[in-house]
Amino acid sequence: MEFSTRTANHVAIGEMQGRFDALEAPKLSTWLDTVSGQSPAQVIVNMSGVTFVDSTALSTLVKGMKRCRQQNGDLLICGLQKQVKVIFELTRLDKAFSIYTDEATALRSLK
Amino acid sequence: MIATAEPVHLLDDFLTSNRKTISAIAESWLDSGATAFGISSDERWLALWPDDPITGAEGAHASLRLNNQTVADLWVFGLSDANTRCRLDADALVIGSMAGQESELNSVTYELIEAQDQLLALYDLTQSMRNRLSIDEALSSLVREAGRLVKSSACSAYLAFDPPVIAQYPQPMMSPSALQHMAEQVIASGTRLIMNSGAPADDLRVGTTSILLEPISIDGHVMGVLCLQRVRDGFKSPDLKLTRAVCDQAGAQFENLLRYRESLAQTRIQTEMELAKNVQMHLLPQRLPNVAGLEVAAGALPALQVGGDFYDFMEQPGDPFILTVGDITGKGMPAAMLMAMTRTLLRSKTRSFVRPSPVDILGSVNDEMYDDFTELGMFATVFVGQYAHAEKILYYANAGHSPVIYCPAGGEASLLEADGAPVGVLPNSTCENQAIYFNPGDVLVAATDGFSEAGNNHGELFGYERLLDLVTNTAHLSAQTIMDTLFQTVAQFSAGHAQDDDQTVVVIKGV
Repeated sequence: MEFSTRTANHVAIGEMQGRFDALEAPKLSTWLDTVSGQSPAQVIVNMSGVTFVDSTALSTLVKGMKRCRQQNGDLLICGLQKQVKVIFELTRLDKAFSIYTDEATALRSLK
Repeated sequence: MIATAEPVHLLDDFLTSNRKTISAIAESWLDSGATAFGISSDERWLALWPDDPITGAEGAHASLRLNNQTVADLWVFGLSDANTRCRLDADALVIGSMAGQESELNSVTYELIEAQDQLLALYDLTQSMRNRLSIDEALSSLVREAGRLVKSSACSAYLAFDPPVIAQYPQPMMSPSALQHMAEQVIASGTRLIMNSGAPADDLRVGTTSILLEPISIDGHVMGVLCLQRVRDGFKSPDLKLTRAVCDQAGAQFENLLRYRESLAQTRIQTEMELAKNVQMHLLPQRLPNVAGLEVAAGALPALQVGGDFYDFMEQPGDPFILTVGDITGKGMPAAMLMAMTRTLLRSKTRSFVRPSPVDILGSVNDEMYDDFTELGMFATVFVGQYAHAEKILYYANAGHSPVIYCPAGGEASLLEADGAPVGVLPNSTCENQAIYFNPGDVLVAATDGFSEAGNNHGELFGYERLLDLVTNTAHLSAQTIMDTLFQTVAQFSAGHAQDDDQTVVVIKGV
């Protein structure tokens, strides 16, 4: 999995490509630990390049989301491919996360 | 040391050990009319016959050569003719060659003894290192034994592990950073480094210290250095050979030690996995419930690295039958422990309410465990079903769990999708109570994602479509047969591919 990060308008953005599983989750986890420490912690995880998620990946996102909310912020998810979106729907994590179609929409919602 | 001793000393030794033979030669000259016969070196008599020799008169001498070097002279007095000189030359040749052979024999003998000593020394080293369980201990043992075997005033060793390991005996010969600096040079070059002082043997000043740094290879890579120090003598060929042998042996010992540590770590992981598996298997119901109006089958196939799947049944006289199926994220011991906690809470919450609804149970478990799940960065998907026989209705609530498949008698299977986020994700549960008629012939399969996400060697997943088809096609069979077919079909699908996740399933069928 490729993982890159950037910042736009005080929002930390992480973008992933490929399989997002137990092997790759620690990369995101380390980054989330850092960016969710700021207050308010505004984070967007762009998953438009992600083709697969497993339960470890999901729990990493949940953990990050909780930390951001504790810091008066939020973790938004954007760009879910169909097969990944299905996983979010089946586990009803789509009820827990704010999910946007693309990064620009997610960014606008934080303004 | 005989092999490299001065030739004159060799001759001294030779004359001492062969005095009878040389005496016989001397006697024969005296019988031939000589007044004296002797062997001299550097104007000093090494031997002279008879007891009252007359050496002033005329005579003859011949050079005694050993290893192509003149080491002494043979002298005959009282005779000086050509015949005498010729015979004396021949005697010198014979004695020289005898001394040469003896010297060679001595050096071969010495080498044998040295080899024997080295073998014994290496045996000692092996014995001393073999029972050490930590790298630190083994390295300390190495510097102690190597320093003794190679007769050094001090010995240090450095292993380029992370972090580096250093041992020095009997006391530090240099600072750890200096040792590391020198050792890293040897590791980089892969070759030994000798700094022989070359100073006279009786010079005891600091500058006379000799240092030998010998590389130690572990698994084919130079990973360490043995550093020996001598205050007076330099390091010579036999020392280098012995040090090389010591380092080879030490390298092999470290390799064994690393293998052992790896297998120990492996064993620990295996023990943890076994424990997790035991926790999981023992917490699952040991017998199937006997519920009026239902056939029940349940099974679990843990993966090698056990996850947090569980199922449970609660039957109390007069109360509806309750079944739960869940999956804790993550694997190993943490998942097994949380699974145990979740299952226990599900049971106690069920008992603490009067006829609780599935949402009552799930909501209170979420309240209770939200902080623990948050702390550990995990969550649990849980399905709670409640079957009321009199009404023939199955009430349920689904906190993010899938696949849960419902197939009405004679109809097509479909997913009972979750309506709430998993337990531990949100501070308040978002589940709602749902209800479906559950008549004779209706089937419910509550499984875990170990089935839907079972992979094969072509990178395909078993998936929901195959699961739904399978349930539709087997729904007319008994609950037990539906479950057996599910396990068999998924096993055939992923034949040869390792089972990544636990496979847990409960099948109920209305009768």
